[in-house]
Amino acid sequence: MKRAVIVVIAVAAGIAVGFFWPRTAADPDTPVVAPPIDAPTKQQASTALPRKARVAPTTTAPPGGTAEQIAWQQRAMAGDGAAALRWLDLERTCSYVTRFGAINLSTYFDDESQPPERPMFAQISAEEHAHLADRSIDAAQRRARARTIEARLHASCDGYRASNDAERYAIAQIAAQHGPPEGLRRFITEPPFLGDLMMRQSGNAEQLAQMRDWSHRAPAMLSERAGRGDADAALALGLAYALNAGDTPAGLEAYWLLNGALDNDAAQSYRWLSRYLQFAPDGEHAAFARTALAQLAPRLDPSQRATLERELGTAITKTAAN
Amino acid sequence: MKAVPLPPADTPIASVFDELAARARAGDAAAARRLADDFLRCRQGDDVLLNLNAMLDFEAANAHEATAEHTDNLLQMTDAMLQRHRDHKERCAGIDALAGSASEWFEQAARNGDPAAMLCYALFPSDLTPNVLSPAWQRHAEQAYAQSPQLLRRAFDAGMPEAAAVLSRMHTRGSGAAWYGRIGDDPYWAYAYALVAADALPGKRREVWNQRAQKLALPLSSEQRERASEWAAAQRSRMTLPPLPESGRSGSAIDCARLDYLASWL
Repeated sequence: MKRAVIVVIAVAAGIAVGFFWPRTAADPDTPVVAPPIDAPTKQQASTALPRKARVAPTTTAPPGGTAEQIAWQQRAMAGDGAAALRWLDLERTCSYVTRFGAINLSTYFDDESQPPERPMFAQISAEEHAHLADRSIDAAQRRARARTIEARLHASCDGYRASNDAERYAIAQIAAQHGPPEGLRRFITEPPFLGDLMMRQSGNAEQLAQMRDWSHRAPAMLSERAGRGDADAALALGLAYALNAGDTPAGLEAYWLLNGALDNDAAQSYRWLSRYLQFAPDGEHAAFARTALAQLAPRLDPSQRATLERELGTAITKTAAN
Repeated sequence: MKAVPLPPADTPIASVFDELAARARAGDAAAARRLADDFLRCRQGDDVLLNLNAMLDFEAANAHEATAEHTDNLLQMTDAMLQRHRDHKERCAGIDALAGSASEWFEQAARNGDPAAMLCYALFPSDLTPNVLSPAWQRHAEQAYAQSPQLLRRAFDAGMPEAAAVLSRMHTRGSGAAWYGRIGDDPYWAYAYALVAADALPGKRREVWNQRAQKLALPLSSEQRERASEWAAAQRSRMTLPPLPESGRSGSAIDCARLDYLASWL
Protein backbone atom coordinates (compact mmCIF):
# COMPACT_ATOMS: atom_id res chain seq x y z
CA MET A 1 0.00 0.00 0.00
CA LYS A 2 1.51 3.17 -1.09
CA ARG A 3 1.57 5.81 1.61
CA ALA A 4 2.92 9.26 1.53
CA VAL A 5 3.13 12.19 3.84
CA ILE A 6 2.21 15.20 1.84
CA VAL A 7 4.43 18.09 2.65
CA VAL A 8 2.88 21.39 1.85
CA ILE A 9 5.33 24.10 1.04
CA ALA A 10 3.64 27.34 1.85
CA VAL A 11 6.33 29.69 0.61
CA ALA A 12 4.03 31.23 -1.92
CA ALA A 13 0.86 30.95 0.07
CA GLY A 14 0.32 34.67 -0.25
CA ILE A 15 0.10 34.40 -4.00
CA ALA A 16 -3.42 33.25 -4.38
CA VAL A 17 -4.62 31.51 -7.47
CA GLY A 18 -7.91 32.05 -9.18
CA PHE A 19 -8.02 35.79 -9.07
CA PHE A 20 -11.22 37.41 -10.03
CA TRP A 21 -9.66 39.40 -12.82
CA PRO A 22 -11.54 40.43 -14.98
CA ARG A 23 -14.99 39.77 -16.23
CA THR A 24 -15.28 43.20 -17.82
CA ALA A 25 -12.90 42.71 -20.67
CA ALA A 26 -11.35 45.86 -22.00
CA ASP A 27 -10.53 46.19 -25.67
CA PRO A 28 -6.97 44.91 -25.89
CA ASP A 29 -6.25 46.97 -28.98
CA THR A 30 -7.11 50.27 -27.38
CA PRO A 31 -3.86 52.16 -27.01
CA VAL A 32 -2.92 53.26 -23.54
CA VAL A 33 -2.76 57.01 -23.34
CA ALA A 34 -0.26 58.30 -20.84
CA PRO A 35 -1.17 61.62 -19.28
CA PRO A 36 1.78 63.99 -19.10
CA ILE A 37 3.55 63.61 -15.82
CA ASP A 38 7.17 63.62 -14.91
CA ALA A 39 7.69 61.91 -11.63
CA PRO A 40 4.65 59.99 -10.46
CA THR A 41 4.03 60.15 -6.75
CA LYS A 42 2.02 57.58 -4.87
CA GLN A 43 -1.06 59.68 -5.36
CA GLN A 44 -0.45 60.17 -9.04
CA ALA A 45 0.38 56.55 -9.56
CA SER A 46 -3.25 55.67 -9.35
CA THR A 47 -4.28 58.03 -12.09
CA ALA A 48 -1.52 58.10 -14.64
CA LEU A 49 0.87 55.80 -16.35
CA PRO A 50 4.52 56.71 -16.01
CA ARG A 51 5.38 58.58 -19.18
CA LYS A 52 8.68 56.90 -19.58
CA ALA A 53 9.63 53.42 -18.53
CA ARG A 54 12.41 53.45 -15.99
CA VAL A 55 13.38 50.08 -17.30
CA ALA A 56 14.22 50.51 -20.93
CA PRO A 57 12.25 48.04 -23.05
CA THR A 58 14.36 45.74 -25.12
CA THR A 59 13.94 46.71 -28.73
CA THR A 60 16.02 44.02 -30.32
CA ALA A 61 16.14 40.40 -29.31
CA PRO A 62 19.45 38.66 -28.70
CA PRO A 63 20.28 36.19 -31.45
CA GLY A 64 19.10 32.59 -31.38
CA GLY A 65 15.98 30.80 -30.23
CA THR A 66 13.26 28.70 -31.75
CA ALA A 67 11.34 29.92 -34.77
CA GLU A 68 8.23 30.31 -32.63
CA GLN A 69 10.12 32.22 -29.96
CA ILE A 70 11.62 34.59 -32.52
CA ALA A 71 8.29 35.16 -34.28
CA TRP A 72 6.35 35.93 -31.09
CA GLN A 73 9.11 38.22 -29.89
CA GLN A 74 9.27 40.19 -33.14
CA ARG A 75 5.51 40.68 -33.14
CA ALA A 76 5.50 41.53 -29.45
CA MET A 77 8.19 44.17 -29.84
CA ALA A 78 6.12 45.68 -32.63
CA GLY A 79 3.33 46.19 -30.09
CA ASP A 80 1.27 43.03 -30.52
CA GLY A 81 0.00 42.28 -27.02
CA ALA A 82 -1.46 38.88 -27.88
CA ALA A 83 1.89 37.80 -29.34
CA ALA A 84 3.60 39.07 -26.19
CA LEU A 85 1.37 36.83 -24.10
CA ARG A 86 2.16 33.86 -26.32
CA TRP A 87 5.86 34.62 -25.88
CA LEU A 88 5.37 34.64 -22.11
CA ASP A 89 3.51 31.32 -22.30
CA LEU A 90 6.36 29.79 -24.26
CA GLU A 91 8.88 31.29 -21.87
CA ARG A 92 7.11 29.74 -18.90
CA THR A 93 6.95 26.31 -20.49
CA CYS A 94 10.52 26.33 -21.72
CA SER A 95 11.92 27.67 -18.45
CA TYR A 96 10.21 24.72 -16.81
CA VAL A 97 11.73 22.30 -19.31
CA THR A 98 15.14 23.85 -18.83
CA ARG A 99 14.90 23.59 -15.08
CA PHE A 100 13.29 20.17 -14.71
CA GLY A 101 14.35 18.51 -17.92
CA ALA A 102 10.92 17.28 -18.93
CA ILE A 103 7.23 17.95 -18.70
CA ASN A 104 5.20 15.46 -16.76
CA LEU A 105 1.41 15.57 -16.81
CA SER A 106 1.07 12.86 -14.19
CA THR A 107 -1.01 15.16 -11.99
CA TYR A 108 -3.95 14.19 -14.17
CA PHE A 109 -3.59 10.65 -12.87
CA ASP A 110 -2.13 11.02 -9.36
CA ASP A 111 -5.31 11.29 -7.35
CA GLU A 112 -8.41 10.04 -9.08
CA SER A 113 -10.58 11.20 -6.18
CA GLN A 114 -9.93 14.88 -6.90
CA PRO A 115 -10.62 16.86 -10.06
CA PRO A 116 -7.22 17.72 -11.53
CA GLU A 117 -6.08 21.31 -11.64
CA ARG A 118 -5.21 22.73 -14.98
CA PRO A 119 -1.43 22.69 -15.44
CA MET A 120 0.51 25.93 -15.86
CA PHE A 121 1.26 25.24 -19.52
CA ALA A 122 -0.98 27.48 -21.60
CA GLN A 123 -0.23 25.47 -24.74
CA ILE A 124 -2.52 22.73 -23.45
CA SER A 125 -5.85 23.54 -25.08
CA ALA A 126 -9.17 23.55 -23.27
CA GLU A 127 -10.19 20.49 -25.26
CA GLU A 128 -7.02 18.64 -24.31
CA HIS A 129 -7.47 19.54 -20.66
CA ALA A 130 -11.09 18.40 -20.69
CA HIS A 131 -10.10 15.10 -22.29
CA LEU A 132 -7.26 14.41 -19.84
CA ALA A 133 -9.45 15.35 -16.88
CA ASP A 134 -12.43 13.25 -17.94
CA ARG A 135 -12.33 10.22 -15.66
CA SER A 136 -15.04 8.50 -17.66
CA ILE A 137 -12.52 8.04 -20.50
CA ASP A 138 -10.25 5.04 -20.36
CA ALA A 139 -7.11 5.89 -18.36
CA ALA A 140 -4.76 4.22 -20.84
CA GLN A 141 -6.18 6.35 -23.62
CA ARG A 142 -5.76 9.51 -21.57
CA ARG A 143 -2.22 8.59 -20.60
CA ALA A 144 -1.33 8.07 -24.22
CA ARG A 145 -2.68 11.49 -25.06
CA ALA A 146 -0.80 13.02 -22.13
CA ARG A 147 2.45 11.58 -23.46
CA THR A 148 1.73 13.05 -26.88
CA ILE A 149 1.12 16.47 -25.36
CA GLU A 150 4.23 16.21 -23.21
CA ALA A 151 6.30 15.42 -26.28
CA ARG A 152 4.79 18.33 -28.20
CA LEU A 153 5.52 20.83 -25.44
CA HIS A 154 9.00 19.47 -25.02
CA ALA A 155 9.66 19.74 -28.74
CA SER A 156 8.45 23.35 -28.76
CA CYS A 157 11.41 24.16 -26.51
CA ASP A 158 14.04 22.48 -28.65
CA GLY A 159 16.53 25.23 -29.37
CA TYR A 160 14.94 27.70 -26.99
CA ARG A 161 17.11 30.65 -26.04
CA ALA A 162 17.02 31.57 -22.35
CA SER A 163 15.61 35.07 -22.07
CA ASN A 164 17.05 37.82 -19.91
CA ASP A 165 15.41 39.89 -17.20
CA ALA A 166 15.06 42.99 -19.36
CA GLU A 167 13.26 41.33 -22.24
CA ARG A 168 10.94 39.39 -19.93
CA TYR A 169 9.86 42.58 -18.23
CA ALA A 170 9.53 44.54 -21.46
CA ILE A 171 7.39 41.87 -23.09
CA ALA A 172 5.28 41.40 -19.96
CA GLN A 173 4.53 45.14 -20.13
CA ILE A 174 3.45 44.86 -23.74
CA ALA A 175 1.20 41.92 -22.93
CA ALA A 176 -0.32 43.90 -20.08
CA GLN A 177 -0.91 47.10 -22.00
CA HIS A 178 -1.87 45.78 -25.40
CA GLY A 179 -2.81 42.17 -24.83
CA PRO A 180 -5.91 40.34 -23.64
CA PRO A 181 -7.04 40.65 -20.01
CA GLU A 182 -4.82 37.71 -19.08
CA GLY A 183 -1.80 39.83 -20.03
CA LEU A 184 -2.61 42.45 -17.42
CA ARG A 185 -3.65 39.86 -14.85
CA ARG A 186 -0.31 38.17 -15.22
CA PHE A 187 1.66 41.40 -15.04
CA ILE A 188 -0.14 42.29 -11.82
CA THR A 189 0.01 38.89 -10.16
CA GLU A 190 3.13 37.30 -11.61
CA PRO A 191 5.56 40.02 -12.69
CA PRO A 192 8.79 38.59 -14.12
CA PHE A 193 10.78 39.34 -10.97
CA LEU A 194 8.40 37.38 -8.76
CA GLY A 195 10.50 34.21 -8.59
CA ASP A 196 13.56 35.87 -7.13
CA LEU A 197 11.45 38.07 -4.91
CA MET A 198 9.82 35.01 -3.37
CA MET A 199 12.96 32.94 -3.09
CA ARG A 200 15.52 35.57 -2.14
CA GLN A 201 13.40 38.47 -0.90
CA SER A 202 15.34 40.63 -3.29
CA GLY A 203 16.57 40.63 -6.84
CA ASN A 204 19.49 41.60 -9.00
CA ALA A 205 20.06 45.21 -10.00
CA GLU A 206 17.82 44.89 -13.05
CA GLN A 207 15.05 43.31 -11.01
CA LEU A 208 15.25 45.94 -8.28
CA ALA A 209 14.79 48.59 -10.96
CA GLN A 210 11.86 46.62 -12.33
CA MET A 211 10.28 46.43 -8.89
CA ARG A 212 10.51 50.19 -8.57
CA ASP A 213 9.00 50.65 -12.02
CA TRP A 214 6.31 48.04 -11.42
CA SER A 215 5.15 49.64 -8.17
CA HIS A 216 4.14 52.72 -10.20
CA ARG A 217 3.22 51.07 -13.45
CA ALA A 218 0.97 48.29 -12.17
CA PRO A 219 -1.44 50.58 -10.28
CA ALA A 220 -1.32 53.04 -13.17
CA MET A 221 -2.38 50.32 -15.59
CA LEU A 222 -5.23 49.32 -13.31
CA SER A 223 -6.43 52.88 -12.86
CA GLU A 224 -6.34 53.35 -16.60
CA ARG A 225 -8.55 50.28 -16.99
CA ALA A 226 -10.79 51.42 -14.19
CA GLY A 227 -11.08 54.77 -15.91
CA ARG A 228 -12.56 52.92 -18.86
CA GLY A 229 -15.21 51.38 -16.64
CA ASP A 230 -13.56 48.16 -15.60
CA ALA A 231 -15.17 47.23 -12.28
CA ASP A 232 -12.62 44.60 -11.34
CA ALA A 233 -9.73 46.98 -11.82
CA ALA A 234 -11.48 49.51 -9.57
CA LEU A 235 -12.10 46.85 -6.94
CA ALA A 236 -8.50 45.69 -7.07
CA LEU A 237 -7.29 49.25 -6.41
CA GLY A 238 -9.88 49.79 -3.69
CA LEU A 239 -8.61 46.70 -1.93
CA ALA A 240 -4.94 47.45 -2.47
CA TYR A 241 -5.21 50.86 -0.83
CA ALA A 242 -6.83 49.24 2.21
CA LEU A 243 -4.89 46.02 2.64
CA ASN A 244 -1.34 44.91 3.26
CA ALA A 245 0.42 42.15 1.42
CA GLY A 246 -1.03 38.84 2.52
CA ASP A 247 -4.37 40.26 3.67
CA THR A 248 -7.28 38.55 2.01
CA PRO A 249 -10.77 39.47 3.11
CA ALA A 250 -13.21 36.59 3.35
CA GLY A 251 -14.64 35.68 -0.02
CA LEU A 252 -12.21 37.83 -1.97
CA GLU A 253 -8.87 37.23 -3.54
CA ALA A 254 -6.61 40.25 -3.18
CA TYR A 255 -3.59 41.16 -5.28
CA TRP A 256 -0.78 40.35 -2.93
CA LEU A 257 2.05 42.40 -4.44
CA LEU A 258 -0.19 45.33 -5.27
CA ASN A 259 -1.43 45.47 -1.69
CA GLY A 260 2.14 45.65 -0.49
CA ALA A 261 3.30 48.18 -3.04
CA LEU A 262 0.60 50.74 -2.28
CA ASP A 263 0.59 52.44 1.07
CA ASN A 264 -2.77 52.27 2.74
CA ASP A 265 -4.80 55.34 1.93
CA ALA A 266 -8.40 55.67 3.06
CA ALA A 267 -9.31 58.31 0.46
CA GLN A 268 -7.92 56.29 -2.44
CA SER A 269 -9.59 53.14 -1.20
CA TYR A 270 -12.86 55.03 -0.86
CA ARG A 271 -12.50 56.45 -4.37
CA TRP A 272 -11.96 53.09 -6.07
CA LEU A 273 -14.48 51.11 -4.07
CA SER A 274 -17.06 53.77 -4.93
CA ARG A 275 -16.11 53.46 -8.58
CA TYR A 276 -16.53 49.72 -8.31
CA LEU A 277 -20.06 50.20 -7.04
CA GLN A 278 -20.80 52.69 -9.81
CA PHE A 279 -19.62 50.18 -12.40
CA ALA A 280 -21.12 47.10 -10.78
CA PRO A 281 -23.87 48.09 -8.33
CA ASP A 282 -25.09 44.52 -8.22
CA GLY A 283 -21.64 43.01 -8.55
CA GLU A 284 -20.48 39.93 -6.74
CA HIS A 285 -18.61 41.99 -4.19
CA ALA A 286 -21.01 44.92 -3.88
CA ALA A 287 -22.01 44.07 -0.32
CA PHE A 288 -18.37 43.89 0.71
CA ALA A 289 -17.64 47.21 -0.96
CA ARG A 290 -20.54 48.93 0.79
CA THR A 291 -19.41 47.65 4.17
CA ALA A 292 -15.85 48.74 3.47
CA LEU A 293 -17.01 52.22 2.44
CA ALA A 294 -18.98 52.58 5.64
CA GLN A 295 -15.83 51.75 7.59
CA LEU A 296 -13.67 54.11 5.56
CA ALA A 297 -15.96 57.14 5.67
CA PRO A 298 -15.17 58.19 9.27
CA ARG A 299 -11.45 58.09 8.45
CA LEU A 300 -11.68 60.76 5.75
CA ASP A 301 -10.75 64.29 6.73
CA PRO A 302 -13.00 67.17 5.63
CA SER A 303 -10.83 68.04 2.66
CA GLN A 304 -10.74 64.46 1.40
CA ARG A 305 -14.46 64.16 1.90
CA ALA A 306 -15.13 67.33 -0.08
CA THR A 307 -12.86 66.22 -2.91
CA LEU A 308 -14.45 62.80 -3.13
CA GLU A 309 -17.96 64.21 -2.96
CA ARG A 310 -17.20 66.48 -5.91
CA GLU A 311 -15.52 63.70 -7.83
CA LEU A 312 -18.10 61.01 -7.16
CA GLY A 313 -21.13 63.29 -7.22
CA THR A 314 -22.48 61.90 -3.99
CA ALA A 315 -22.60 62.96 -0.37
CA ILE A 316 -20.52 61.11 2.16
CA THR A 317 -21.69 60.96 5.74
CA LYS A 318 -19.18 60.61 8.52
CA THR A 319 -20.69 57.44 9.81
CA ALA A 320 -21.85 55.60 6.75
CA ALA A 321 -21.54 55.69 3.02
CA ASN A 322 -24.28 55.59 0.51
CA MET B 1 34.82 39.43 28.62
CA LYS B 2 32.88 36.24 29.17
CA ALA B 3 29.85 35.86 26.86
CA VAL B 4 26.51 35.97 28.64
CA PRO B 5 24.59 32.77 27.85
CA LEU B 6 21.39 32.93 25.87
CA PRO B 7 18.06 31.76 27.31
CA PRO B 8 17.08 28.16 26.44
CA ALA B 9 16.03 27.75 22.81
CA ASP B 10 12.38 27.00 23.56
CA THR B 11 11.82 30.08 25.71
CA PRO B 12 8.82 32.13 24.56
CA ILE B 13 10.27 35.06 22.67
CA ALA B 14 8.09 37.69 24.33
CA SER B 15 9.40 36.75 27.78
CA VAL B 16 13.03 37.42 26.84
CA PHE B 17 12.66 40.01 24.11
CA ASP B 18 13.49 43.11 26.18
CA GLU B 19 16.64 41.56 27.57
CA LEU B 20 17.82 40.22 24.20
CA ALA B 21 17.00 43.44 22.36
CA ALA B 22 18.95 45.52 24.89
CA ARG B 23 21.92 43.18 24.58
CA ALA B 24 21.69 43.20 20.79
CA ARG B 25 21.59 46.98 20.63
CA ALA B 26 24.59 47.10 22.93
CA GLY B 27 26.59 45.04 20.46
CA ASP B 28 25.93 41.42 21.48
CA ALA B 29 26.01 39.45 18.24
CA ALA B 30 24.59 36.24 19.69
CA ALA B 31 21.59 38.02 21.18
CA ALA B 32 20.82 39.75 17.88
CA ARG B 33 21.19 36.52 15.98
CA ARG B 34 18.87 34.73 18.39
CA LEU B 35 16.21 37.39 17.82
CA ALA B 36 16.72 37.18 14.06
CA ASP B 37 16.28 33.41 14.07
CA ASP B 38 13.25 33.55 16.35
CA PHE B 39 11.58 36.28 14.31
CA LEU B 40 12.22 34.36 11.12
CA ARG B 41 10.85 31.09 12.44
CA CYS B 42 7.81 32.75 13.91
CA ARG B 43 7.22 34.95 10.86
CA GLN B 44 7.47 32.01 8.52
CA GLY B 45 4.56 30.71 10.46
CA ASP B 46 3.52 27.41 11.60
CA ASP B 47 3.10 25.08 8.67
CA VAL B 48 2.29 22.15 10.90
CA LEU B 49 -1.48 22.51 10.71
CA LEU B 50 -1.31 22.94 6.96
CA ASN B 51 0.77 19.80 6.64
CA LEU B 52 -1.49 17.91 9.01
CA ASN B 53 -4.52 18.95 7.06
CA ALA B 54 -2.98 17.78 3.79
CA MET B 55 -1.88 14.54 5.37
CA LEU B 56 -5.33 13.81 6.80
CA ASP B 57 -6.98 14.64 3.49
CA PHE B 58 -4.74 12.12 1.80
CA GLU B 59 -5.39 9.54 4.49
CA ALA B 60 -9.14 10.08 4.30
CA ALA B 61 -9.08 9.49 0.56
CA ASN B 62 -7.24 6.21 1.13
CA ALA B 63 -8.89 5.16 4.39
CA HIS B 64 -10.28 2.01 2.87
CA GLU B 65 -6.72 0.71 2.44
CA ALA B 66 -5.54 1.51 5.96
CA THR B 67 -4.36 -1.27 8.27
CA ALA B 68 -4.71 -1.06 12.05
CA GLU B 69 -0.96 -0.58 12.36
CA HIS B 70 -1.01 2.23 9.88
CA THR B 71 -3.86 3.93 11.73
CA ASP B 72 -1.92 3.71 15.01
CA ASN B 73 1.11 5.28 13.34
CA LEU B 74 -1.06 7.99 11.91
CA LEU B 75 -2.52 8.84 15.31
CA GLN B 76 0.94 9.06 16.83
CA MET B 77 2.11 11.29 14.03
CA THR B 78 -0.97 13.49 14.44
CA ASP B 79 -0.31 13.83 18.18
CA ALA B 80 3.31 14.77 17.55
CA MET B 81 2.34 17.38 14.95
CA LEU B 82 -0.26 18.92 17.23
CA GLN B 83 2.32 19.12 20.01
CA ARG B 84 4.72 20.90 17.64
CA HIS B 85 1.94 23.30 16.76
CA ARG B 86 1.29 24.03 20.45
CA ASP B 87 5.01 24.55 21.08
CA HIS B 88 5.25 26.95 18.15
CA LYS B 89 2.26 28.95 19.33
CA GLU B 90 3.63 29.20 22.84
CA ARG B 91 7.09 30.20 21.66
CA CYS B 92 5.87 32.84 19.23
CA ALA B 93 2.99 34.27 21.27
CA GLY B 94 2.94 38.07 21.21
CA ILE B 95 5.60 38.47 18.55
CA ASP B 96 3.48 40.88 16.50
CA ALA B 97 3.78 43.44 19.28
CA LEU B 98 7.58 43.22 19.43
CA ALA B 99 9.86 45.70 17.71
CA GLY B 100 11.82 44.83 14.60
CA SER B 101 11.73 42.11 12.02
CA ALA B 102 13.89 39.15 11.09
CA SER B 103 15.86 41.13 8.55
CA GLU B 104 16.39 44.04 10.96
CA TRP B 105 17.77 41.68 13.60
CA PHE B 106 19.92 39.92 11.03
CA GLU B 107 21.28 43.32 10.07
CA GLN B 108 21.97 44.07 13.73
CA ALA B 109 23.69 40.70 14.19
CA ALA B 110 25.79 41.39 11.10
CA ARG B 111 26.76 44.81 12.45
CA ASN B 112 27.66 43.14 15.74
CA GLY B 113 30.05 40.82 13.93
CA ASP B 114 28.18 37.54 13.38
CA PRO B 115 29.66 36.19 10.10
CA ALA B 116 26.70 33.93 9.32
CA ALA B 117 24.35 36.87 9.77
CA MET B 118 26.53 38.91 7.40
CA LEU B 119 26.12 36.23 4.77
CA CYS B 120 22.45 35.79 5.44
CA TYR B 121 21.62 39.48 5.44
CA ALA B 122 23.74 40.15 2.36
CA LEU B 123 21.89 37.52 0.35
CA PHE B 124 18.41 37.68 1.90
CA PRO B 125 18.05 41.25 3.13
CA SER B 126 14.32 41.77 3.37
CA ASP B 127 11.11 40.36 4.69
CA LEU B 128 8.24 39.66 2.36
CA THR B 129 5.47 41.01 4.56
CA PRO B 130 3.55 43.10 5.20
CA ASN B 131 4.56 45.85 2.80
CA VAL B 132 6.69 44.17 0.20
CA LEU B 133 7.41 46.54 -2.73
CA SER B 134 6.28 49.59 -0.77
CA PRO B 135 8.60 52.60 -1.19
CA ALA B 136 10.19 51.93 2.20
CA TRP B 137 10.72 48.26 1.38
CA GLN B 138 12.34 49.17 -1.92
CA ARG B 139 14.66 51.71 -0.34
CA HIS B 140 15.75 49.10 2.15
CA ALA B 141 16.24 46.45 -0.54
CA GLU B 142 18.33 48.80 -2.65
CA GLN B 143 20.49 49.89 0.28
CA ALA B 144 21.03 46.30 1.33
CA TYR B 145 21.90 45.41 -2.24
CA ALA B 146 24.53 48.12 -2.35
CA GLN B 147 26.01 47.04 0.99
CA SER B 148 26.06 43.33 0.27
CA PRO B 149 29.53 43.01 -1.35
CA GLN B 150 31.09 44.80 1.60
CA LEU B 151 29.27 42.54 4.04
CA LEU B 152 30.41 39.48 2.15
CA ARG B 153 34.00 40.67 2.32
CA ARG B 154 33.61 41.14 6.06
CA ALA B 155 32.30 37.58 6.37
CA PHE B 156 35.23 36.41 4.26
CA ASP B 157 37.69 38.33 6.41
CA ALA B 158 36.08 36.78 9.48
CA GLY B 159 37.00 33.38 8.09
CA MET B 160 33.74 32.07 6.65
CA PRO B 161 34.48 29.74 3.74
CA GLU B 162 31.02 30.11 2.18
CA ALA B 163 31.72 33.80 1.72
CA ALA B 164 34.53 32.87 -0.68
CA ALA B 165 32.10 30.92 -2.84
CA VAL B 166 29.55 33.72 -2.87
CA LEU B 167 32.23 36.32 -3.68
CA SER B 168 33.36 34.20 -6.61
CA ARG B 169 29.79 34.15 -7.88
CA MET B 170 29.50 37.88 -7.36
CA HIS B 171 32.41 38.33 -9.74
CA THR B 172 30.78 36.22 -12.47
CA ARG B 173 27.83 37.36 -14.48
CA GLY B 174 25.25 34.71 -15.22
CA SER B 175 21.74 33.60 -14.62
CA GLY B 176 20.95 31.92 -11.35
CA ALA B 177 20.84 33.46 -7.93
CA ALA B 178 20.19 37.18 -7.64
CA TRP B 179 23.71 37.85 -6.44
CA TYR B 180 25.52 36.37 -9.44
CA GLY B 181 27.62 39.05 -11.05
CA ARG B 182 26.67 41.64 -8.46
CA ILE B 183 30.18 43.05 -8.31
CA GLY B 184 30.76 42.71 -12.03
CA ASP B 185 32.43 40.29 -14.36
CA ASP B 186 36.00 39.79 -13.26
CA PRO B 187 37.46 36.37 -14.19
CA TYR B 188 40.57 36.90 -12.11
CA TRP B 189 38.77 37.46 -8.82
CA ALA B 190 36.11 34.91 -9.63
CA TYR B 191 38.93 32.38 -9.99
CA ALA B 192 40.85 33.53 -6.94
CA TYR B 193 37.85 33.28 -4.63
CA ALA B 194 36.87 29.96 -6.22
CA LEU B 195 40.28 28.56 -5.28
CA VAL B 196 39.71 29.53 -1.66
CA ALA B 197 36.23 27.97 -1.71
CA ALA B 198 37.55 24.78 -3.31
CA ASP B 199 40.17 24.47 -0.62
CA ALA B 200 38.07 25.44 2.37
CA LEU B 201 34.71 23.80 1.69
CA PRO B 202 34.16 20.14 2.47
CA GLY B 203 32.66 17.16 0.64
CA LYS B 204 30.69 17.63 -2.53
CA ARG B 205 31.08 21.39 -2.43
CA ARG B 206 34.83 20.95 -2.61
CA GLU B 207 34.41 18.89 -5.79
CA VAL B 208 31.99 21.39 -7.27
CA TRP B 209 34.32 24.31 -6.59
CA ASN B 210 37.36 22.48 -7.84
CA GLN B 211 35.61 21.93 -11.15
CA ARG B 212 34.39 25.46 -11.17
CA ALA B 213 37.85 26.84 -10.49
CA GLN B 214 39.24 24.84 -13.40
CA LYS B 215 36.62 26.31 -15.69
CA LEU B 216 37.21 29.83 -14.42
CA ALA B 217 40.95 29.42 -15.02
CA LEU B 218 40.53 28.93 -18.76
CA PRO B 219 40.54 32.58 -19.87
CA LEU B 220 43.42 33.51 -17.52
CA SER B 221 47.09 33.64 -18.36
CA SER B 222 49.50 31.37 -16.52
CA GLU B 223 50.89 34.38 -14.72
CA GLN B 224 47.40 35.37 -13.54
CA ARG B 225 46.70 31.82 -12.37
CA GLU B 226 49.91 31.73 -10.42
CA ARG B 227 49.24 35.05 -8.77
CA ALA B 228 45.69 34.03 -7.87
CA SER B 229 46.94 30.75 -6.41
CA GLU B 230 49.41 32.54 -4.19
CA TRP B 231 46.73 34.92 -2.98
CA ALA B 232 44.28 32.07 -2.37
CA ALA B 233 46.82 30.05 -0.42
CA ALA B 234 47.43 32.99 1.87
CA GLN B 235 43.69 33.53 2.36
CA ARG B 236 43.00 29.86 2.95
CA SER B 237 44.81 29.92 6.26
CA ARG B 238 42.38 32.59 7.43
CA MET B 239 39.29 30.45 6.80
CA THR B 240 39.01 29.42 10.39
CA LEU B 241 35.26 29.10 10.84
CA PRO B 242 33.75 25.65 10.40
CA PRO B 243 31.94 25.23 7.09
CA LEU B 244 28.16 25.11 7.17
CA PRO B 245 26.87 21.56 7.28
CA GLU B 246 26.10 19.86 3.99
CA SER B 247 22.45 20.18 3.17
CA GLY B 248 20.63 16.99 2.42
CA ARG B 249 17.49 18.74 1.38
CA SER B 250 16.67 21.13 -1.37
CA GLY B 251 15.17 23.36 1.29
CA SER B 252 13.33 26.59 1.20
CA ALA B 253 15.64 29.41 0.30
CA ILE B 254 13.97 31.73 2.78
CA ASP B 255 15.04 29.50 5.65
CA CYS B 256 17.98 31.64 6.57
CA ALA B 257 17.77 30.70 10.23
CA ARG B 258 19.74 27.53 9.74
CA LEU B 259 21.69 28.57 6.67
CA ASP B 260 22.28 24.95 5.72
CA TYR B 261 20.37 25.39 2.48
CA LEU B 262 23.12 27.70 1.33
CA ALA B 263 25.21 24.71 0.41
CA SER B 264 22.83 23.97 -2.43
CA TRP B 265 23.19 27.51 -3.76
CA LEU B 266 26.92 27.71 -3.65
